[in-house]
Amino acid sequence: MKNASDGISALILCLLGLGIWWQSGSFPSLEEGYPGPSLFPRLIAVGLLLGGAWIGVKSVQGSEKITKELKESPSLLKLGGGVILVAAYPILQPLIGFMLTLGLVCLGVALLLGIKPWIALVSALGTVLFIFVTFEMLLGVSL
Amino acid sequence: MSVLLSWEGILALLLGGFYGAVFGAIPGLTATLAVALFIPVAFFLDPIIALPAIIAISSVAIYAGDVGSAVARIPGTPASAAYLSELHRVARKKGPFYGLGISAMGSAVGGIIGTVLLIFSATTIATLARQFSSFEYFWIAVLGLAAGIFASGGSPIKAFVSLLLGLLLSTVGIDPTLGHPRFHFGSPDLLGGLNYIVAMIGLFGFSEVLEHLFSNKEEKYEAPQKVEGAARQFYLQPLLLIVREKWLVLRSSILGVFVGFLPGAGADIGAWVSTSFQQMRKKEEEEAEEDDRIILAGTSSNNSAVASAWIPALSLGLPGDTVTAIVLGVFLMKGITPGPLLFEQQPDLLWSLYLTFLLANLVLLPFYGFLTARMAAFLIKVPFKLLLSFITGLCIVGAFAINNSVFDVWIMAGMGVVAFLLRRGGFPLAQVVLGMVLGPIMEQNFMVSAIKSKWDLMSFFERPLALGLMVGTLAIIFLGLRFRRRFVKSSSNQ
Repeated sequence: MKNASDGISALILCLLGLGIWWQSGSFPSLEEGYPGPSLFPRLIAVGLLLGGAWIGVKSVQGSEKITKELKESPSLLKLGGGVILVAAYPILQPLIGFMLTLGLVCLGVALLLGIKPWIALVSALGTVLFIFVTFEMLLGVSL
Repeated sequence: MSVLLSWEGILALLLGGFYGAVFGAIPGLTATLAVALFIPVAFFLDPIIALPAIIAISSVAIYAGDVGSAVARIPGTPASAAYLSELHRVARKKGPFYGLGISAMGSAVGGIIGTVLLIFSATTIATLARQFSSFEYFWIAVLGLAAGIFASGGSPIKAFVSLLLGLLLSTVGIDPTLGHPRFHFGSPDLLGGLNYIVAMIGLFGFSEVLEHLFSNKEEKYEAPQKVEGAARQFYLQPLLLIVREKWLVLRSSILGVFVGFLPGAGADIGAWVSTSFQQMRKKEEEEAEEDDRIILAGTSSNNSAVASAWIPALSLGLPGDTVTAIVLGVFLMKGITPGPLLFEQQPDLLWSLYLTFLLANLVLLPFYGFLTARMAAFLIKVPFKLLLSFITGLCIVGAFAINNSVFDVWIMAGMGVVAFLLRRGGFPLAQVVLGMVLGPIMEQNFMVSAIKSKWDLMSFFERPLALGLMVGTLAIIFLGLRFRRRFVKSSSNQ
């Protein structure tokens, strides 16, 4: 395989297409057997299967350009950390409140990005303050 | 008319413009939300002041949506997402004053063209729109999707897959035919469907943070650090570009007017269609100024659509977009019945609206545009890594504030991860949003048409207008493939 990234994409798309086809099988039909809510998802599933197959074939032939080269030093750990921090917001917010939660998330992301701790702290405090003043005080959006 | 030119009227316009600028510039806060939050205030105002204030809010907010795109690749409104990458590139290479200047001046000129057409053709165009049925709306959506495939600079097959993913996301929630819940996986929060503003924040905003966390890359600001002649960059250079590209501006504005007056379409789809056409032409020309032209096409189109969305609202009582849907509510609140009689019974109100559109585009947009560009010029010089922590905070709050739901923060984070993977695989993101916006229009109108015609699919080609739109779709596919082949050939020769 000449382009592994496209090969993986093709496999995921085909699996997604099959999953949608299978899941839409449980949707009801219209009277007289005409397709109902399942029609569009199934058309999309077919499109994904065909698109996935096309990308898969091209990846084997190596005719699609490799669109992104990893010249940098990638860090899966930092990526995972960023996702976990943001995903933790809905859990922590009801427990410790909006300001503290948002401040912690912003501080965590800044530290993961390699910003010096004291600058990260100031930046997180500034972000929380700006958001609080703009949304809660000026626009009246309850946070 | 005299009420509008009184100090209360002018104050309402100025404050409305400022309010629109703040809302549009903050990711997650849209022109629609700004207008919706203004309703309680509008209730206590004279309609001749309240309605122009709404025009000022929406016109400036649609432009201000570009500030987030220029600074941090986060579109403030769905219309801004259409030319997001181009504006971000221009703002970083040639400076935010120039980038946002094209956007503001293009919006102003497009808005004025839209207003002139609104004044002279409201009744005539509304008569044409009245002939659109579900068949035509279905084909309009298909045409938009076809244009979207060739709008990305990369592989059309990957753009097609991105569109399909957007269409798939639009099927989450209650289906439009039988009201059957789809793909909600037992979660009541998903029954109402995925909000595309929340998805857009994740797709463009949070994915940017993830990309930097993963790759440790540093985005460079290439424009001169010290801005000299900011006013010249903001006003003069974009105006010269507009004069040079007068046919492009005229074509995009007319396209925006046409899309804007179709009920349910509005500025967002206007910007997408125009930008897609210009991006398709890019393959032919491929010049250094092409990014400028794409921004110009999108911005002139979206503000002309803002004006023309009022055509069906005023003459038929049908909303052209979500803002005019709220406006119709204000009409009813004030005991005004929109429709042909409005033109005979309330000429003063109509002329106030027309005058406000002209004032908003001639005065408010250039004035608030320059102020927001100053703000952007400061923000763009802040080290991007520092800005990313701030962007994370805005993404969380922007997603949360739309429905006051913490569940939307998870949706935003999930969309960010999906977008990160798509970017890594070379799949364009803008097409996902296009699929989410056009998906419900396409599905609903297809099902209504199919049921109406007892599943006689030939009926989709029988009406002359529908047939014309289908021919337009085929022409887009043909031209897109032809230009792409020529582009691929010329790039391989270089």
